[in-house]
Amino acid sequence: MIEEAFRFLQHLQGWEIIYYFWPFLLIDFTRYVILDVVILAWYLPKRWRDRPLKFKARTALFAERPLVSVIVPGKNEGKHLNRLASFLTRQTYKNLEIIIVDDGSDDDTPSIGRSLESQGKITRFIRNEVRGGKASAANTALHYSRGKYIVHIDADSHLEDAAIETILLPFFMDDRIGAVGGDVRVANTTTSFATRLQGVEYMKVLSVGRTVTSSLNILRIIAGAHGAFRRDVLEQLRGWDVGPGLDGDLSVKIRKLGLRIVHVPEAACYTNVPTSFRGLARQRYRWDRSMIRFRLRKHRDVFRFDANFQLGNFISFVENVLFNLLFNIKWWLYTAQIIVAHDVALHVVIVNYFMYLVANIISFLCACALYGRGMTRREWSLAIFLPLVPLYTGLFLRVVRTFAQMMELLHRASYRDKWNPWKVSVIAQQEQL
Amino acid sequence: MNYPDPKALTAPAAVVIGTDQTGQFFGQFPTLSLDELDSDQLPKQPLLLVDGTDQEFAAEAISAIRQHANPGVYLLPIVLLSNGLASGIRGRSALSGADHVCLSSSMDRQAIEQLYEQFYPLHRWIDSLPPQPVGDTNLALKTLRLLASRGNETEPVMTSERLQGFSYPLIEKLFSQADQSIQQTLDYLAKLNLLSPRFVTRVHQCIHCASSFLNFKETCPQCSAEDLQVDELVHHFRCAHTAPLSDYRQEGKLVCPKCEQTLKHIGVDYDKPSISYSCNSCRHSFSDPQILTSCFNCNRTTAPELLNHAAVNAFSVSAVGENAARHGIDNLFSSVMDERLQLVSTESFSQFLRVEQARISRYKVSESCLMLILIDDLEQLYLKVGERAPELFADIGEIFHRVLRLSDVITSRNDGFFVALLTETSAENGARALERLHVGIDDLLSENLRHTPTIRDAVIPVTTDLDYESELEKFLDSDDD
Repeated sequence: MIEEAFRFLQHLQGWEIIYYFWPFLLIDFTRYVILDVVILAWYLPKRWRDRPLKFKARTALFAERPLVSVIVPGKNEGKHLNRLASFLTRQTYKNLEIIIVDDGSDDDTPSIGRSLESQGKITRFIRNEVRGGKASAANTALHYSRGKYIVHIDADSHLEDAAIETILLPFFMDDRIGAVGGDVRVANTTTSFATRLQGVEYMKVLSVGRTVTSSLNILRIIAGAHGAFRRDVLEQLRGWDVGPGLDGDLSVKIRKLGLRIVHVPEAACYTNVPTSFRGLARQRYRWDRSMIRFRLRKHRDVFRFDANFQLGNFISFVENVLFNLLFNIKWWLYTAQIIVAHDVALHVVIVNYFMYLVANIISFLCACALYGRGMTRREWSLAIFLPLVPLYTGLFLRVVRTFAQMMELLHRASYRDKWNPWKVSVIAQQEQL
Repeated sequence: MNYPDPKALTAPAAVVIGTDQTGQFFGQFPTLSLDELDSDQLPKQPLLLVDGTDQEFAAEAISAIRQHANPGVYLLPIVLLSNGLASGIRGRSALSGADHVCLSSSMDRQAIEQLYEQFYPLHRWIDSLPPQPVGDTNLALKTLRLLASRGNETEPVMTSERLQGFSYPLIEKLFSQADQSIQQTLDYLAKLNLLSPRFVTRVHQCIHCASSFLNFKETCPQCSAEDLQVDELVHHFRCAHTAPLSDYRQEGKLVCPKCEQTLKHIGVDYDKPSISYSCNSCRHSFSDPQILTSCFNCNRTTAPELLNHAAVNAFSVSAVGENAARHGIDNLFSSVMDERLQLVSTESFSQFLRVEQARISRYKVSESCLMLILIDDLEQLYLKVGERAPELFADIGEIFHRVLRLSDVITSRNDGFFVALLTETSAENGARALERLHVGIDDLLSENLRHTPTIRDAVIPVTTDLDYESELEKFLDSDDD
């Protein structure tokens, strides 16, 4: 059957190849393979050439030795705090204040946090008796922090020893940079089948994808799991707004100030991802709705050609909406097209699978090149799962994304998300935030 | 001495302890002054009426009665005659230690008879005590007897007059000083299983002086300053802005500095998740102030987690305690000494002494002597070393063991009072042995505990006409001189 499918491909004329495989050839391959390869081909030598600049930045960082506030807002994260504190004590950059905000936990987080504080393993533990949501907890931490730079991490994040030092360097290389994103990788790749597939996805999308968009200056998100911000910028914006999707929202607001946000793939942070497909679907359902809520609703002014128009923001938004919303719809058109051409449908599906497999292999190799010596054996071992990735991204994630976007477009489902306390959600919905 | 049956009472069974003026008001009863408390009349009085007109005097009188060594006195029921005006700290002080309070105006013969009948079981209890030549000098025994004679559980009462914040009114007048002695004595008796404790509450006490009067202070965790500014942290739901309440105040309203919306109702569009502190001294802001305690008594500062979290118990006399109250505590010191020296009972000792007297009388060649030694402040030692007391007492026993010979016979008359029969020992040699004993104990206590013991001793030659009991009385009476 595979042989027949490839024979079918051999017999196609040039325009027929485009007709049958236009989503891959015109959109996905162009955007996610050719563009990534081209940008990385430019980025990797540049990274090598920029070593003296980084050395200079590092020298400046250690000469100034600014206080850096590491803030960790969260609810019921007590079980991660001991580990987190020990990772942070191993950081190569030492002038840190570690602030953990407990957002109304109902487990033993308060006692663990207070114990770490009394042992001097963290600088401050703040207990908010009333849960206010992640944004409120992050803003509480911001209120108590004193650092010149604020590093926001999740409690279950595991930072590489030089992660904070590395993430701070761009601030000393370019004063137009308002925020820097660290490279978020999967810590629990070996836990389950779902985490292995996410491991490959994070390498492709978060590491390579964000490096490419950052190089093109259209990066649209600084991950909450590991992001560094200039304090003056956060104070000007008065911190985070109500989520979900508060990381992307803050990133857009920083861009709107005319500042750059960049991604640093060397500032590695490992985080735990959902271990089951059910949990993963729930997480992506939340993430994918925030694209509609924040790009199309809250920050729709980016599309307006007025005095505040900024081309970089416009392109960033267009790219995001095009590839994650509109081109998501194209898949359903394409599916309809294949069903209509039912006699060759199976051949088209098989060829598509192999084409996407090749694309994924190329993307994986791009990630390997990007990680360089930092590539772990565990990450190498994910290569054997590449044949399954087209099904994971092409079917599973696409279905979840489509459902999430429909629910948000038609029902504004994100306002009912339990991620925020209900009182906050009610206000957000009333005010259409 | 036996108290008469209430029905057989013929004369006013009471004596008034009062001042010079007291007699005018209570002429029907004999009146004794404080100085006359030691008189022989007192033990024979079934009821002691204390004139409470002068509360200071009343408190002093009750203390004097309770601190009397004779169980026939300190166990007597005390009725405080009040003029109804007892109030304040002095009033409460006078009331504590009294068994009953009566209005002076209602005090007549009939009232006395009723009171006598009421307290008759107590009199019978006092009557049941075995006769003893020596008064009770042991505070623990006095405490036990006072509690056992009343039969009730003694409960702690909150008071600002005692450093520990609690007192036990019935027994507190047994103690001359308002220090930790009451608690330590009760704990000691409970440790000997003579009292049964019942948990009532817990109290935080200073680790330095055991005072319960502590000031809990919120201080800056950075500089320990007490001058803090307290502000509530406000979370505005709409924009997630979180800042101290003062940041929101604007012309009498609460306006969000981030989104400029007016805050309306707490719980609806904003809440207060926590409290924010800022130090007026070092400008540090924080959410959890450092809590420190300072002691009103010794002025020392301590972290709350280091405070002594002591249990406050009510105490009742156990069955063993009831027996010990009647027949004397099988005290710790004597029991430790017994292990080392094989003490003989008082009866056996008397027998040995009689045999020795007869032997000396018959052969007229031997010289023997009695060695009397009384360590007065064993309780102080116990209070000082607490649980290590058995080890200390064993060391004292070792000194006795080194000085005495196997042929010597030793008995314990009371806790801390020992009498040894040194056979074939002249009074002169006995005095030397006593000196070695005295020096040994003195060195042990003064070098290790910086405590100078109060030791009284004597050496008496054993003669055929020696009256052992009267010699003992003479010896014990000599301490009052």
